[in-house]
Amino acid sequence: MENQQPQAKIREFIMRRLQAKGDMAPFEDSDVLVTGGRLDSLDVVEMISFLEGEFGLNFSIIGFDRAYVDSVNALMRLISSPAPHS
Amino acid sequence: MGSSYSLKFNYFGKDITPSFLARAQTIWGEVASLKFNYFGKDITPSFLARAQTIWGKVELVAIFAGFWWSFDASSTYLPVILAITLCAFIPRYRWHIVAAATLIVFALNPFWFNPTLPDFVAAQEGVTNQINFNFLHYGIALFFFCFALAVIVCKQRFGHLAVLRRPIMALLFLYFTLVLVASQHVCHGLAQVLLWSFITMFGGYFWFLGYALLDGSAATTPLLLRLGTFHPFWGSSTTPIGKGVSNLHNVEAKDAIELAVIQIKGMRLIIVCSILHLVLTWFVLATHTYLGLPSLNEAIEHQAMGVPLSLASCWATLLASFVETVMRIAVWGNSIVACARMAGFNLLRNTYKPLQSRTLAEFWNRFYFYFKELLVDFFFFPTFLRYFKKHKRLRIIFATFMAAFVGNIIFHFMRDIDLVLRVGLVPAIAKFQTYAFYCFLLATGIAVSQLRPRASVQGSLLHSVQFSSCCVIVFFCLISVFDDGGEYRVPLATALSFLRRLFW
Repeated sequence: MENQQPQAKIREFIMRRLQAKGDMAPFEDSDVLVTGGRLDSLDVVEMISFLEGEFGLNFSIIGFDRAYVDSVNALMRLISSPAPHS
Repeated sequence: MGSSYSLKFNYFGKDITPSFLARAQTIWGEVASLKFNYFGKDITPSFLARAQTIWGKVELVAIFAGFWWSFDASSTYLPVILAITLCAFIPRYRWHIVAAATLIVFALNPFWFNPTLPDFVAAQEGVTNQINFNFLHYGIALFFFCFALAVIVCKQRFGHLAVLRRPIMALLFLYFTLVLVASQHVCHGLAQVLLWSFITMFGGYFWFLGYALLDGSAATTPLLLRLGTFHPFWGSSTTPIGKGVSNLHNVEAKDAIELAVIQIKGMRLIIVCSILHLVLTWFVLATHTYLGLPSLNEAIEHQAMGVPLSLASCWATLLASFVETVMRIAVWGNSIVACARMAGFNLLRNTYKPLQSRTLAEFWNRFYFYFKELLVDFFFFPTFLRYFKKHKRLRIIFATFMAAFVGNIIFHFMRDIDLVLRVGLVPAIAKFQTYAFYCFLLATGIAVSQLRPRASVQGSLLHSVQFSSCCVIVFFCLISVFDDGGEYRVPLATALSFLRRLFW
């Protein structure tokens, strides 16, 4: 995962979370996964830790909205915006 | 003669005639199609196409209306059915229909969360004869909604101010300050009635207002339409089912095909709820009437009076109470979700196969989804994002305790605030000792469950899955001894004594 692009890292992380629950269905970058019910609160907790560790995001500064982590596209927007990094 | 020969040949013969085969295919084809369309998991293209036609929509709404009668036969039945009919035929105006229907349902029952409280305070203050209660209800409601609009606008315009950067904390502070003032009888007579009525309405809508304040991305929706999602017409308790405007935008039908799919899912869910409702009725009849089992609270009262039930009866009561609670929550919550789906919002089920949960956290997620979401959104995430960021385990434990313990107690204290009015502030807090212990056990269980690594579904053997599920059920059965369903009558020592009775 070290040399991967951010999008690939995010997709791999989400895929691992889904597979751990037996959800093998594919997903598009635009698919809403949290509000759509495929990822639950525990997955979001893991995702926050992943984003903080991997991309240096600081949610205590930017605040938190599930819309930020709802899809691969939303996550890409989040990590490419300048403000949220600590 | 020909007819009896045909009968014999068709029903007793060795071979099958082509005509009989064709007829059987038609009959079973119809039954199978009925089963597939109304109970199946998938949706056939033909059924989906029909659901988009005028008659298909009429059929779906009519079926829903028939089953909905068993859940809501009150004065709100007609406005609700009218609203989902309009949502089916003119989905472009869905948000306006939702707001209008919510307003009508509200007007029919403005103090839906605690209808007797204003009357009780008025009687306590001796001013019943001086008050027009209709005027009071609508006046307080108008005042509260103006207050809610002002708070939302302030959050949008002055969100950078310290007090509005943590709006839920500020609202909780305001709410409990008002409760303190009311409980100390600073005001008297009509002023006290007005104060308690406002506190009650504030508490009833607190979490709806909370979601409106968290909804940063919903700012483009007109304010009055946002208010239409406060206890929307499809129903809820003080726990919102459908979490604010942006969540509803995410799950609403975007086109005619999506609307048809969501409405079919809504129609199927109300059928499932009706069947479960029937099973629940039979279950209650079987356990309480035929087997003569008492309710859990009655069993605990027997224990307190020194006439404990037999060990077998204690366990049977505990298990029956647990099953009954799970079914009640499932029927109640999922019927509301079904109604929201008929309006075109593809909400997740409130209860989804909780008995298949393999961990305590999973059960908590599946049992009462929207309450869990409330605690997570208002207590877990704000804590998790701020504290102990360098200590992963401590971070999860602390955030879980803030949600399942602190948040849970705050939510129930606000929901049952009339306890303060009836017995006073300090005795009301004291009455929460048993429920606080329940929350402590719950939080501990969920925290431990979250720290343990998740087992992969693929690698698990069937028996280990079943064993995990049994452990989860036993845990929730046992801690339910400390949750007396909002009555707060059982002292902690009595509940502990009943728990001890279960083991020796």
